Amino acid sequence: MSSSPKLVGYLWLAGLGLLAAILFGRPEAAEIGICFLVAVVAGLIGMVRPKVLLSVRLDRERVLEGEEVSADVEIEAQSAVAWLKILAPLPAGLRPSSGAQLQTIHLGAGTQRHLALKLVATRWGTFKIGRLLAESHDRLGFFTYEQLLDQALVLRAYPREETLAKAIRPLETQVYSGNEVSRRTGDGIEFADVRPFVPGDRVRKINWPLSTRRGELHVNDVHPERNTDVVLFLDTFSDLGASGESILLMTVRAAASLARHYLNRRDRVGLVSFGGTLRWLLPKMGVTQAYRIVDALLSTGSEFSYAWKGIDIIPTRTLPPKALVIAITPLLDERTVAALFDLRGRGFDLAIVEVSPAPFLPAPSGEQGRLAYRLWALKREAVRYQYRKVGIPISIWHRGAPLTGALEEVRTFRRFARTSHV
Amino acid sequence: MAVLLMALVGADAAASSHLAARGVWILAFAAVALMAVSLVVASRRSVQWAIGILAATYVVSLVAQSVSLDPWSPLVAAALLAAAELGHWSIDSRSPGMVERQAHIQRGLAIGAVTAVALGLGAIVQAGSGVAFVASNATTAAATGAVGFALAAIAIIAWRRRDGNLERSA
Repeated sequence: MSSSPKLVGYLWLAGLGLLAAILFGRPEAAEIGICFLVAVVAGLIGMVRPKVLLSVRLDRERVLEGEEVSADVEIEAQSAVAWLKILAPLPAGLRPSSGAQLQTIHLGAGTQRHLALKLVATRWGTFKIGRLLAESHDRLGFFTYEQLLDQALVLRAYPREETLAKAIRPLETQVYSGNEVSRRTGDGIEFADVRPFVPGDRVRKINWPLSTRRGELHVNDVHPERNTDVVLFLDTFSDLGASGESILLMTVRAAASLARHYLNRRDRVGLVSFGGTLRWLLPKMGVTQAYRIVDALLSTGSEFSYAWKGIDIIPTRTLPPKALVIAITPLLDERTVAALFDLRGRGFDLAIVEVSPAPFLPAPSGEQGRLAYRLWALKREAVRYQYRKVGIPISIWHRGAPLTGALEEVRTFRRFARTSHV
Repeated sequence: MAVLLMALVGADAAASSHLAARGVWILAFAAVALMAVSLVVASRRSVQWAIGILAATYVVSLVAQSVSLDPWSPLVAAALLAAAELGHWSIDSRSPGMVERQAHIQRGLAIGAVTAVALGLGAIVQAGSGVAFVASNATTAAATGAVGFALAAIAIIAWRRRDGNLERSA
C-alpha cells in the first residue's frame, strides 16, 4: 500500500489552517483546516485493504502470426473497490486489437467481472503473458494498493508461411519413395528414354510400337519418384531491423515456408541454425518433424559471438550426403560467407537465398556516407560473384517481395548452369 | 471546474478586501494560474501549492480588512476542498486506458459527500464562533495543543496502516 502525496498535502493544509485560526483569531482559517481534515478522516475511514482475485485465460495457446487471440481477465472482488486500474503489460510483438491494456473499473463487494482483451501477434515467437498489475484506490484516491498476478501463460505465434507452388529442385534424390522425379532411371511413372531390350527386362516395359517398327525389342525407361533430403541453413549471427520487421523475422518465415513445402512432398527436412549458438535438427519427415521445426524456429534468435565458427562444428548426420542445402542469410557475417564456400567445397548441393539487409539500413548521409555505402554494396556484389563463379546459385530476397520470386531466380540459375556445363 | 472554483474564491477574496487589494488580486491570480498549469502538467504537488496559496490569500485578506466574520467562509472552505479534489480527480483519470463511467460516478459521489460534510462542519464552526468566549493564553495553548495532537494522531494512524506495498498473486 502506498499513500498519495495528497494525504500529506491535506494534513499540511489542515494543520496550517488550524494554526492560523489560533494565531490570527480567525475562525475562517479553522473552517478551511477542518474541511481538509474531514477529507483526510474520510479517507482513513474508507481505507480497507481490497480483496481482489485475478486470473487470466487465453482462448488458445497457438496462433498464426497476425491472428487474433482473446484474453479473458477475470476479476473477483470480495470487498468493494472504488477505483481499480488493471494493467496488462504485453511483450513486444503482441498488441491489443480491441480492448485496452489499461482499464479502470469500479467493483462492488462480491462482484465478478470479465474484461476481454483481443491480442494480435505482430510477429512470430513465444510470448509469455499472464502478468497483471492491479492498482486499487480508495474513493478519494488517498491510498493505492498494488497487486501483481504472475500467471505463467505461453502463447506461441507461428510464422505465417507463404504457399510455394515450386521450390528448389535438388540435384540428387534419396532412396525412399517420394514426390520428386529422380534424374536416374528405375521403376516409376515418368517416361525417361527408350533402349534395346536386355535379358532381365520386364515384358510389360517393352515398347511394342517401336519394337514392331525397328524389328527388335525395345523397352521404355522411366524415372522413379524419390524423396530428397533438404537442410535449411539459417544464418543467425546478425540481425537488423526493428521487432516489427527484421532480417531474422524474414529468415524464419522463409524457413517455415520451405520446411512446410518439402515436408508436404514427403521429403526429409533438417535445420541448422548457424549463429552465436548452434542449433540443429536431424533431417526427418512427417508432421512431427514439421512441429519440431516450427518449435525450433520459434526459439531462434540472433546471438552475438566473437568465436570463429566453421561447418566443422555442425554434427555430421545433420548434413547427409546428396542433401540440398538452402542457406537463408543476409551475408553480413564473414563466418557464414566462409562456411557456405566450405559447404560447396565439400560437394553439397547448395543454394543461397540472400535476405537483403539494404531496407533495414539507415539512409547514408553525406558524401562519405554514400561512398561507404557504395563500397559496401560493391563488396557484397563481389561476394555474390564469387558464389556464382563456383556454381552456387544466389538470389536476393527483398522485404515485401514474395519468396517465390527469389526461389525462381535460383531455379533459373541452376537450369542455366546445368545446360551450359553439359 | 477546479480552476473555476478557485477563480471564484480568489475573486471573492480580492473583491472583499479593501486594503492591499492589488496584492490580493495578484496572489489570487497566481494561485489560479498555478492550478491551471498543475492540471496541464498533471502535477499533484502543485495543485496543493495552488490551494495553499489561495487559502493563505483568503486568510490574509480577512486579517487585513479586520472584519468580524465572513458569512461566506464555510462556502469558501468547501469550494477550496472541492477545487483540490476535482484537480486530483482530473489528474488521476488522465490514464491512457479506458475508464469506466461507474468509477467516475463513485468518485464524484465521494467528492460531493465529503464537500457536503465539510460545508456542514464549517457552518457549525461558524455558528460556534459567534458564541461569546473569553480568550486567554491558556485557551490558545490548549487549542494549539489539541490541533497538534489531532494532526499527529491522524498522521500516525495513516502511517501505521502502510503495510506491505506489493501483494503477489499466484
